[in-house]
Amino acid sequence: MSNNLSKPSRASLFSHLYIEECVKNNLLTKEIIQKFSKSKIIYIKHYKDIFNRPNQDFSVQSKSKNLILAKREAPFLYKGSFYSDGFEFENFFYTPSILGCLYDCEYCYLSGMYNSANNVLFVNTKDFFNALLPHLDKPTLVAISYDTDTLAIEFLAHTTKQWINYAKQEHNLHLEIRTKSANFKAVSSIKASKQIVLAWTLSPQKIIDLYEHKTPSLNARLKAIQEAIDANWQVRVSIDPVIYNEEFLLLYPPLVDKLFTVIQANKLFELTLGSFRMSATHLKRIKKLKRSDIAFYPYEVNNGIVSYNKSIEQYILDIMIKQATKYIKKEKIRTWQLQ
Amino acid sequence: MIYLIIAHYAEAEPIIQKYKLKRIHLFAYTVFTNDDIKLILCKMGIDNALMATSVLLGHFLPTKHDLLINIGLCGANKITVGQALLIHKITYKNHSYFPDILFEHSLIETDLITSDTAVESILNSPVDMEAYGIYKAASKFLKAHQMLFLKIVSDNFEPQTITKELAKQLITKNLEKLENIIALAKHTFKKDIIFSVKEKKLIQDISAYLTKAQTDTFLDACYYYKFHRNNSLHVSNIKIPITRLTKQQRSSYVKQLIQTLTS
Repeated sequence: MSNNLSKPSRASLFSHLYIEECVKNNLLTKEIIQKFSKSKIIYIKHYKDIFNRPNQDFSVQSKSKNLILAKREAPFLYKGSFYSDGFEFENFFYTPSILGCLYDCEYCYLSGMYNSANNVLFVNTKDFFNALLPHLDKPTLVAISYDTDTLAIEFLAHTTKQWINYAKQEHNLHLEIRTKSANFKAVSSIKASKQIVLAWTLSPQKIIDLYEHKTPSLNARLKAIQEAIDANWQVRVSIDPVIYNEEFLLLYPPLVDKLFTVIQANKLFELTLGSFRMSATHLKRIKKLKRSDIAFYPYEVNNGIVSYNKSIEQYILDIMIKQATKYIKKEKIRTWQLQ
Repeated sequence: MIYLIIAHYAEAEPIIQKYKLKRIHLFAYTVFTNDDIKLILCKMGIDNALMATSVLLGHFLPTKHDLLINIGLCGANKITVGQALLIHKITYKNHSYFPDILFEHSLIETDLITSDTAVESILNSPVDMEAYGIYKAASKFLKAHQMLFLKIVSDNFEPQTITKELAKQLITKNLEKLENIIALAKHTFKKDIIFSVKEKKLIQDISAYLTKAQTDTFLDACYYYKFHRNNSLHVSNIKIPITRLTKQQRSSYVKQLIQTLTS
């Protein structure tokens, strides 16, 4: 057992690093320890001993997130979620190479799915690639940013970069990289590829201020999108989830206008539109955090999914599609609606 | 409320005096209390600590705004006697607990081993005899960030050198640190009160007319209103029914409540 005394220090991002004993000699682990030289290091047997503890407070932890470094064991891939678009790929997976997100969006399902607001980084990235190999005999879409925002946390382990470089070796591997970050420069040195879609989620600035804590501003995201498009990347913009309230008309159609004032419509790969929806189980847990009006809206529940009632959902889509088609062909717009 | 779990009277005495705590009896335990603090003497050892913590918290039922602090002495290697330590990992045999320390502080943080007996051989980590039992019991009542373990180094694995007088001196010397830690933790985890007493009464009065499912829906709408409007429920125009409602009237009344609060 090591003498784990550390000198007094100020809390900062990742004031504590929890490190599985089995990865303490891993090269990436050592690099991260160097980056966070002021953090206290606590050795653990298994990441679930920290991440899955039953008596954690997600809201309180959100203000002071810590980092867990671990080795992932199978499964390395999950079938794509029902709540998300699989873009007609026969093979559609998402991969949990990082758990938890640096951002703190009040409507995010992660706060209803995980006990902890901490982040887990699995340092054995190659095992994820190996798990994909048997599926790569046909076109396969992998979403690498479902349970996290990999670009937001890119400075840690260059996870996005590693995935992109791997995709470039495997012609059947297609990646969707969702983000709210403005961190295009993290991948700007890589040549754009048709196998990869960078997908930015946008919200009106007022919604960002109210609900998307710690995320970059709308303008910063738009700037990053412009940079990615200028570098010939395929960029999908998601105005999804739309958060409905009495200011919907004041906030969302102008967002579409702003998007296409900054971005040339013909340069956009796709536009995704969708209103808020979530598994009822996740929402039930988010309600317990008692921190957001979004959790307490009187949604409809159908087959375990909560969403705005059909007429509001349709109204949102109609307005958004009408606004978007002023700039972009309908064929380039994808929507998510409860069937 | 601050719940203090302390093994011996000698360690507790400076705190009892500083905060002018009054002695009460709680089952077989001696408890010292004022409006903000409840201090229990648990005696030495994991089992004693576990039982005393269960009794204290089980009796007073802490809320999410409360804090538990175990303050006591520990043996440690190469750390000056009198040094205060804040514990982030407590290990007993092969199992560990991890209190969340989510606020900035100026203390030394370290892991801790809880032992069944006084330890005379030198170990790398500080050693006490209660923390594991306290965490085990308290975790049934409190979140990981509500439990703090403040240990004062009393000896370098020479337990025979500890006297009651030394214990008192060491705790007295660190009283300010205890106070600072309480202030820091309370400030960091201060949660806004969502509903005022008056609003709670209004919700309760209206709920008396509703079924359980309707009450849940109504309460959700109240939360929505508070978070969304940041206004008092009293300006929302919701009214308590004057007479008993029929089933149909109740449905229509609830619909109207939800509409008022969420539109």
